[in-house]
Amino acid sequence: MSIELPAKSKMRIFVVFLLFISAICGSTNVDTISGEVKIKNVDRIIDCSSQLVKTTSKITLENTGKAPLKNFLLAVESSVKDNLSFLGVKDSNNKDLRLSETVVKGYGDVRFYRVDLKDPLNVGSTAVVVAEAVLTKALQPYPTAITQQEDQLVKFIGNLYFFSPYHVTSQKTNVILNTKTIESFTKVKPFSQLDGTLVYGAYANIGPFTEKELSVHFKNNSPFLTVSRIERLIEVSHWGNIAIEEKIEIEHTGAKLKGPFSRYDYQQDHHSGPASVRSYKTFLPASAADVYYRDTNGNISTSNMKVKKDSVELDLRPRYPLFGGWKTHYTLGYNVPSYEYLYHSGNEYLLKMRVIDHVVDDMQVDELVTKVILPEGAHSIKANFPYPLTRLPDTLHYTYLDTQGRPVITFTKRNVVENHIQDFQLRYTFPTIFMLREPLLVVASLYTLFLCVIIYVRLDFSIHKEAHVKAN
Amino acid sequence: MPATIAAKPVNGPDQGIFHNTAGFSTLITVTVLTLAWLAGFASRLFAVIRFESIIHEFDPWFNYRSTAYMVEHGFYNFLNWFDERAWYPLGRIVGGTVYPGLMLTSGTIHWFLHALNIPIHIRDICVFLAPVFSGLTAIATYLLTSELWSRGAGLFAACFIAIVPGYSSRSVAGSYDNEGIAIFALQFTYYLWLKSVKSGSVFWSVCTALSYFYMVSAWGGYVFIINLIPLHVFVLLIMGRFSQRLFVSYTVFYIIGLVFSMQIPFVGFQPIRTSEHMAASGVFALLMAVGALKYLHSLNPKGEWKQLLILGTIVAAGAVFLAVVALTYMGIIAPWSGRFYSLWDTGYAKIHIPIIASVSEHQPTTWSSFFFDLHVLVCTFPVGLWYCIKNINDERVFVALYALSAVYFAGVMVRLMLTLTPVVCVLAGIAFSIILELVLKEEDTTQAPIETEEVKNDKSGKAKKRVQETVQAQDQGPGLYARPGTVIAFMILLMLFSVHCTWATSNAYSSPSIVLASYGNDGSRRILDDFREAYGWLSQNTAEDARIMSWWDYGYQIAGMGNRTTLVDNNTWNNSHIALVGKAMASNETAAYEIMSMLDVDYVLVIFGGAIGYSGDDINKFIWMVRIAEGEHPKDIHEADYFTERGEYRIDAEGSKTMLNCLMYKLSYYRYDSGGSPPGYDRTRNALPGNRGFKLTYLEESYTTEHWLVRIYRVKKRDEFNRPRVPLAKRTIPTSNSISKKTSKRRKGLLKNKPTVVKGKKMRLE
Amino acid sequence: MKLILLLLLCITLTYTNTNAQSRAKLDDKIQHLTDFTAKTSIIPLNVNRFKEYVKSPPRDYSFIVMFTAMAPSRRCAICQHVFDEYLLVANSFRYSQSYTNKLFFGMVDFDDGSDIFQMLRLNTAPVIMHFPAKGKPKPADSMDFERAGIHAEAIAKWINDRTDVQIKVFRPPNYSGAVAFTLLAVLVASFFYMRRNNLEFLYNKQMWAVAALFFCFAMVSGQMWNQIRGPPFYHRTKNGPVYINSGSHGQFVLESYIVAALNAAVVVGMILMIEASGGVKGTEVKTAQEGKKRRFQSAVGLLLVCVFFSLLLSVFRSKTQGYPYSFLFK
Repeated sequence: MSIELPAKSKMRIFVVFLLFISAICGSTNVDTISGEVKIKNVDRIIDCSSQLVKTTSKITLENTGKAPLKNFLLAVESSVKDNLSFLGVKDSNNKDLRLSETVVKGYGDVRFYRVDLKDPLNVGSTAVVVAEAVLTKALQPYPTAITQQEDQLVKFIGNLYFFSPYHVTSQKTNVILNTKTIESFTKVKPFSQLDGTLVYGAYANIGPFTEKELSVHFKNNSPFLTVSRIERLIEVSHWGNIAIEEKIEIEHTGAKLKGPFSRYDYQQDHHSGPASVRSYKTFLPASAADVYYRDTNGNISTSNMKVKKDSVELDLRPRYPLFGGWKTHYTLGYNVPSYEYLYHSGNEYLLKMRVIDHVVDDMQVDELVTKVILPEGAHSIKANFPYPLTRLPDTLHYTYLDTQGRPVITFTKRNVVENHIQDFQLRYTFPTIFMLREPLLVVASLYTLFLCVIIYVRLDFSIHKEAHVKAN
Repeated sequence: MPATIAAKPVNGPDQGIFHNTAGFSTLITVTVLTLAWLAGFASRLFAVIRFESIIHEFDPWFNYRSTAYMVEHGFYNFLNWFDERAWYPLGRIVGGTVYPGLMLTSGTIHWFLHALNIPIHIRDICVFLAPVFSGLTAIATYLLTSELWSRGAGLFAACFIAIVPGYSSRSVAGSYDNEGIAIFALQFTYYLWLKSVKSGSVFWSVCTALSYFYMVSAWGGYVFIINLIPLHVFVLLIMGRFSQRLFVSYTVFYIIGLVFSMQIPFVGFQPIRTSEHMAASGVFALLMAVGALKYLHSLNPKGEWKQLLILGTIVAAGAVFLAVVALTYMGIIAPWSGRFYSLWDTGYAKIHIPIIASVSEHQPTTWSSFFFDLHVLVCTFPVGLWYCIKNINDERVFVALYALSAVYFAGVMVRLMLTLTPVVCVLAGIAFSIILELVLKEEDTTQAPIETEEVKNDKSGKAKKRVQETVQAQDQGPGLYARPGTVIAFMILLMLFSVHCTWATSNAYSSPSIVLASYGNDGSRRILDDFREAYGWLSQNTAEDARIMSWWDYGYQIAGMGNRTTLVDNNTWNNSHIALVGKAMASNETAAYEIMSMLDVDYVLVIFGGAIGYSGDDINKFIWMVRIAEGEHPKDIHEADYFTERGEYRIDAEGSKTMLNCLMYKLSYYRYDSGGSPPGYDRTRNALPGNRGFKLTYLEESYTTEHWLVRIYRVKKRDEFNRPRVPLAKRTIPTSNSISKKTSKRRKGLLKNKPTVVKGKKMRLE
Repeated sequence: MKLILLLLLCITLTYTNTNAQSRAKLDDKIQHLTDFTAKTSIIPLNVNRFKEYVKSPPRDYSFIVMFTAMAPSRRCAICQHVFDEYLLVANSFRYSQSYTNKLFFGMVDFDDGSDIFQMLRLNTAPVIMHFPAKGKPKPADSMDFERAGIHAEAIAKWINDRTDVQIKVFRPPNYSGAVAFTLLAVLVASFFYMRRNNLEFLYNKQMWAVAALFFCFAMVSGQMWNQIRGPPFYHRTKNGPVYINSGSHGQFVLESYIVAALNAAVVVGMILMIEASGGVKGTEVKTAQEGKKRRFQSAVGLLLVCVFFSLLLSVFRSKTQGYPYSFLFK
């Protein structure tokens, strides 16, 4: 959904921006739950092995009505709807289906999404769709504070059944934990425990909107790193370079460290500080060059870089290991050649870049702010985003030899995960002649400077003459 | 930049505007000065190239912090800044206790660049300020020397001071300190002073006063100027060289300079209330008296007034002296402050002011450090002095006095080598230019570099006389054989000088003591970044208002990088507070806890070099903590208790009981069992700690850096002491973790490394 | 019943009695001591006095005793110094307002108290010991001069540590410096007065220049350091004397003289060369052999400069470990 953005007056920008918001979250449409839809089977996989909870549900729809079915509803229970960071639906041949938020009368606290099928589902026939949801902060560390040597135990509380507005004939749920040490878990027959996974079901004939608590308490030492804020700055230069700088504030949001930190124990054996994060990997685009990694006190000398064929892998070590509740912040910057991301025909340019790039595996980002600085003189800018974002009013940025300032496009989003690493598009017009402006500025200023010197040397400004009578 | 340089020599009075050779020599001058500037700038960048663009050491961190504050909040808020992060619970009024010149300078540059939309971070400006000013210093020295002798000498002096270690020691990139800009102000003030004495014009003496004002705002060393210039005037009077020019220039300079200097909050009324400044006013009064007598004499220029004149002068001098003495005794004028007094009575500081004595740069100077800082100049500048005195005139009197006083001060205090260096460069420049001028007199430009040109041009005054000399050139002076030999020899000397300067600057003066580098046997370099690791941890993971207790050396760094409240810091204005911290460090844990809870300390930070052999750590400085504490609390702390029976200072099993149980010892060696074989071996002291395996009751280790260099402890609250303490062995749960395995292998390897001694620069004594 | 009462009575009586006795004894002891102190601030002690006042109870005062050997036959040079300082402390205690009769100063000379020395197993002199009011002297009760020094201030400080008596040492002002200065001034003045009709020598630049140069050499060769630190003249080792301190943080007196000489030689060399080639004024050569002389002179100067500078460099190199450069000599 792309909108015209006249980059002149703030007021109009703002109006348009409101329109934009309303357009993306089409909250106007109201749906009803049709009784004709049945769900024959659901296979659910709840992956709790990282700090995120990734739910993948394979849903077999059946149309028991008269008319062919164009769309159906997905429901999210009120308990997790704040943790829901990403929801996507694919059909059997792995095509993304368009889904839009909607409401249903009588179910105020439940959040609904309407999924439009590619081709209507005929009467009596079935279709398979795969719904993928990512929850952040759904795993609570329990106990909330541990000592240096203890393992981190977390508790997951979810719904034993697939939460749906429709009648579910049979369903099955696997909870992947990747650990044998499970303190406790809900036991509802039939269930079984293979190593590292719990299997629930199959359960038959569950009615709509049925909730039953599923709680698992298990060991999870995977890094609980929350990027509390990331500010991503993209500076486009038409001289062939795009500079990217990310200011990142990161925090260990697992169980807090209780009691002393002992360097001696920490150096003793491999098992010490199991829940702490010594280092983590960040993947940059393959063409990333001259990377820097520093904070307010200067370079952070503990990091090394591997160049792979499809990406650049940074092994970042914070200045100090991160225990529960410890924070750090740093700035990561690099350059990429512009020909990979900047396309143009004449004076029309198109910039395709990622809204956010990889920071940590299974990252969860509380707040993302992305700023795009376009070259001075770019105008009639159109932005196009892959998913709903809040766009902030444009600003101007002044740097070397700028006279009228460079337009800055800013947009922000909360609660971001890896699935949001997608491209946005920015169209703008930039007359090529503008590129000559800055060299000319330099030339002119130097010329005037030398002119002044010459005049000063050649002419005699002294009031009284005997000064250089004395000289020779 | 070149343009600004170009402008300066053109201003010089000995300039025929449309004179061709003048233009040519100007070109050469500009070229040489530009090259000197570049060389000086480049030779100061070792630290930046080896490490990064970072502020060095201790005081620069405060200067940087306050500069950042000024840039952020504006100048007036900076002047009124009450810094509650320092000297808890007293705080510090920064605006009234700093020389704001440095901050103003870099702040102005920052403002100017940002007005041109050049977004340079203030840190980079601070880092590169001193090297840039070294170029200006070179130009000022050039001007000064060409006032004194000749422009050839000026060029030599400029080249010398651009790279001489004695000056680059305080002005490498990143050492963002007052001296960096002060030396420029010093030289420039002297240049202007000489010009005003020569010309006797009010304009030049006003310029002198302005430049003096900048110096006052920049550095406490302005006292040197305000005593040296009066001394110059005084000596000129004694030599009977009184003149109207002298009268005008000094009176104007003194009055305006006095009024200006009192505008600096930190200086305030000192110029009229303290003995350090009394010489100036005394000479002022004397000059007035002499002027009056001269006037009387001129009324009736007969012989019999002569005696009266001399007598009157002597009487006036005596009167002025007695007046100053009397005022001092009446307490209207403060007597000499300790720091200055210790320059005359050299034993003074050691007895009365241990804090001053504890700083290694307040020690007297050995000949080797003279040679290290000045190299060939140290044995050539007397030649320049010789010839200045031999053909004396007003301004050469000045340079002679400058040299003698500066060399005395440099002898007393290593730190004042800085004030000696410029004049040594001036005089050595004169010596070299004399000799090469004579040697190359009749040579053509092919054999001789630049110098011949100046010889020909700027001696244009004597040009005619030389024409006749050329007749018997061959049998005069060093013969045809000696001459090339001389040239070659002196070129070799100069070359040795330049390589020495580069070597000294890169090896001795270019380590930013924040980041340490240690070299293994295979020449591999390892960066030890523990300081910033610890400060980063403090800034991120402690409460915003946490109070950190550490020895005063680290106060500025904690405030600057850790952004936390400190108890004492490098501006050691409150001895008793420092002594209290020293006492806490020196007493046993219980007594220390009382002090710490009295000062409500949250964290204690100690520097411990034992694991990597870092010699500048707290245990090595500890004896000074004890001395300073003893000075204030002689009842509780006795230096003798920290020595063994045989008077040795050691930490192993023979160490005295008090030593092995004081807080500093415990915090340094608490659970220290790493650091090579045998475990717990101290590589700095080369000893095995005497008291090991002890527990801490009132504190708990809250962070220790990777190489154990910085250790931070949390002071427990009163309700935390007697909890049942679960031994660590019971707490651990056997498990395997893939992340930690890899990294800790790396760390293991690093611990097994051979001991590599990291030289801590500017460590305290012992 | 009565009996017990009686018993109690006489017990109390006897007790008070003895107590009173010792009290009286103590009082007249203190009385004696104060009388002594009135006469002389340091009480000379012989054996029985020492036994009576210092050793034997009852005592409620602490005693500072100096054991020394003042007799010239003993040839104890330091004893005299220590005695002077000690006397200073004693006097300033006696005449200070903090004077109490809880502290007394005594002195035992070896010649009239040698068996006290044996009694205390002292075989060195001088020693200053403190006998506390109660209890035996601890090792810390004998002052050690190595660490504290023998200055009166140090002694006072030590006393202040042992017995909490604050003694402000009052030195009689030392007029010798002032006297010398005035004497010098008078001499110079009179000299000028005598030579008043021709003061040209004052305008002799040569003299002033030489003086200035000497001052420079003195400072540059670290005489100030010598004066403050007082290093040995040179270092004697089993395999011959060492003149150059190996280590850039120290130097010997002789070494600094050598360095001064080297500097001077280089300077002289340069001046020779300059004068040889006409000096600053550019004086001209009259005769041919003067030309030869000058050429020779300049050659000598050049030689001096090169040789002595490279000597200086090599000395410096031997002190500074890892210094790479040298010239002519290693």
